[in-house]
Amino acid sequence: MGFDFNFIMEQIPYLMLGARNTLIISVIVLLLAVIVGIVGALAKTSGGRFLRLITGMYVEIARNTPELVQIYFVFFVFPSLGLKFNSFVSGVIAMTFFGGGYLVEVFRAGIEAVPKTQVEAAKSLALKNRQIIVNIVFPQALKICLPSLIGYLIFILKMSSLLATIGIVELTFVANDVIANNFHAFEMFSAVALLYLIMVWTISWLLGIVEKRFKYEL
Amino acid sequence: METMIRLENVHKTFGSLQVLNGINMEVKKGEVVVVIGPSGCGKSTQLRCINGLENIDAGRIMVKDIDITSGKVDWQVVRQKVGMVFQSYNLYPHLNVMRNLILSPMKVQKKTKKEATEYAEILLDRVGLLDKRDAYPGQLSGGQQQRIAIVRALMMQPEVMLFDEVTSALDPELINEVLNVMIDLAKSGMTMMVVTHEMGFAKAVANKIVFMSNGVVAEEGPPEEFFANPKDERLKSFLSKVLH
Amino acid sequence: MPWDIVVKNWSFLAAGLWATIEIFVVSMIAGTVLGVLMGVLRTSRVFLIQITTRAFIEVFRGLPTLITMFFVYFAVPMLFQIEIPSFLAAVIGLTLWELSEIAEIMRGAIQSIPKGQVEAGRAMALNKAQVLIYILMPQAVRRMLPPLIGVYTRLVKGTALASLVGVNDLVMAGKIVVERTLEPLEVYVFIMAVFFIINYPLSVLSRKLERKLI
Repeated sequence: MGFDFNFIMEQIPYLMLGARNTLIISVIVLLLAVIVGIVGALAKTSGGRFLRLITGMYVEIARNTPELVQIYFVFFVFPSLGLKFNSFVSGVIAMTFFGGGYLVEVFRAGIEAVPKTQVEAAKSLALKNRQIIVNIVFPQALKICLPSLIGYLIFILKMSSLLATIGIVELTFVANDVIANNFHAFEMFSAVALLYLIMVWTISWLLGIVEKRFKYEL
Repeated sequence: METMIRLENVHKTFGSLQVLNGINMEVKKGEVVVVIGPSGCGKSTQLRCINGLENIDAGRIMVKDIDITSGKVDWQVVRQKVGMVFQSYNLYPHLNVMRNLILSPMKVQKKTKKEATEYAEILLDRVGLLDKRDAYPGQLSGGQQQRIAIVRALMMQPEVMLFDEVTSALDPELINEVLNVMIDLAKSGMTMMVVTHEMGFAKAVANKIVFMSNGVVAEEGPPEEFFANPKDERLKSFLSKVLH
Repeated sequence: MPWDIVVKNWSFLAAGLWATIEIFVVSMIAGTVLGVLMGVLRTSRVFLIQITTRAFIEVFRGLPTLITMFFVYFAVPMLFQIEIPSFLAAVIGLTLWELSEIAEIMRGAIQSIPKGQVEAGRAMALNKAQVLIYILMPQAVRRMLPPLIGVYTRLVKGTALASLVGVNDLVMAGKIVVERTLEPLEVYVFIMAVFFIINYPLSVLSRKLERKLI
């Protein structure tokens, strides 16, 4: 059995739709996870004891249970608790949950990597604590975190393949959908794999550029 | 003459280490006081206490008529009066020179960007770095960064300037460009408290030299007398090491 | 929360958990052995070996593991007219990902060892293999350990994918119980708790080792 190119050519529009949705979902999840990560990191670095405990528990649960089960949890368990979302929203919630768990640690490390002398300099120039966090610590922490953030975009993009299981039409769903109707599994999964690799490698190539450019001495 | 800074019997420990052991000192308006002493004698800690970067355990520190050890001090007010320059410059690496300079004037003193920028240009020109206004700290030499750091502190129009070993991290050939800025500043009448190892600078501009040892002021006096006729044994031994 | 559903279906869920553990152990061992091998090959001076191992690693680190697993389960049998059982497909899929991660960790660890170490070993008349075994590996292993345990925690989580190629693992067993009882909350909390109990100590250990290194 050979490689049926014509078949793949016919599927290109559908494959592109899947790839586009994969990218859109990944970017949405990354942005939401960044917000969760920043809030969590602030809670962990400057919050009270209770807040730190809660954030810590969240991070551990998010990181130590399977992503697939978290997606199932939102999709199957939430409705039984009266929280009904469509599959897209469920998927985004679940992915933001585990993505955010990782980013809390990324941002916390970033904040702690900003030298204490920067805070002292800002204090000596009469800035208030809030101003120091917003104007001095945060921009520098963000720069420190940027390479990791791009790395986590890759992680999220790969994990988004799990959303096929709850019926979101992304790249993996497209592959399953097409092969359910015919016997071109090899062609289809080759094409899908190639598309994933193109996306992942493009992002990691960007990551390389960013890492080189933002590597500055503190 | 008005007293700008007064330390009264200041004590400070780090853990079990007694760093300041009853310091008494006074800086009057327009004076340049140079603090010298062996490393670990507490001279840097003392500066950091004046700016509230460290808390003291006992004693009293007055900045003009404000008791900054009273526990209910408004640091935003005190720190505008007291400028500080650090050994490691501590410029904000993510902001260019101009934005380093105008951040606090705009955020704290609510100056407009135009006002702050204009003043920054005047000061930058004075230290010969106007052409670096758009550079980032990482693109500048240590000497240039330190001159910018001095300007940054001056942007707040402070009444006293604290210098914490500001030339110690610099390559020898870059030290003079920074010292010259400080000498000009001293000549313009700025009140200064300078922790340094540069004895030449001390001789040239200090009104008073303070020798610290083991967390106390061991000897103080005007530079001529201080260098020519040291009385304290520890000072004699210190001077014999630093003056070749 | 009453635990009667978990208790009533215990033997069924336990069978699933056992399959999950089997998948984990087999993939872990296979992935570690092959990964270390691949990592050594990756640092080879022979260009052809270097480039092929690098391509292999980049592909299987880049692909979502689910896609690799589906490829093994759906596409490979079609291509070669063979049948690959679910369990094997899951293990191969996870192993391909894991060995690539481990090879990459290994390469990073070996390359992070100062060149002077190799030179010192060579100067003491050790041959290449001896330098690798006595000088490089012991130092590399210490650096590898925290990220290696990190890969194992991700592998534990990755075993959940086996349910998607039809293995009756813990996740699949849970799904079936939920379909029978229509009580998802208790079952999914149980599943998450099981994974958490396995993974949490591993991630604590990884962090501890990392701190020790610094």
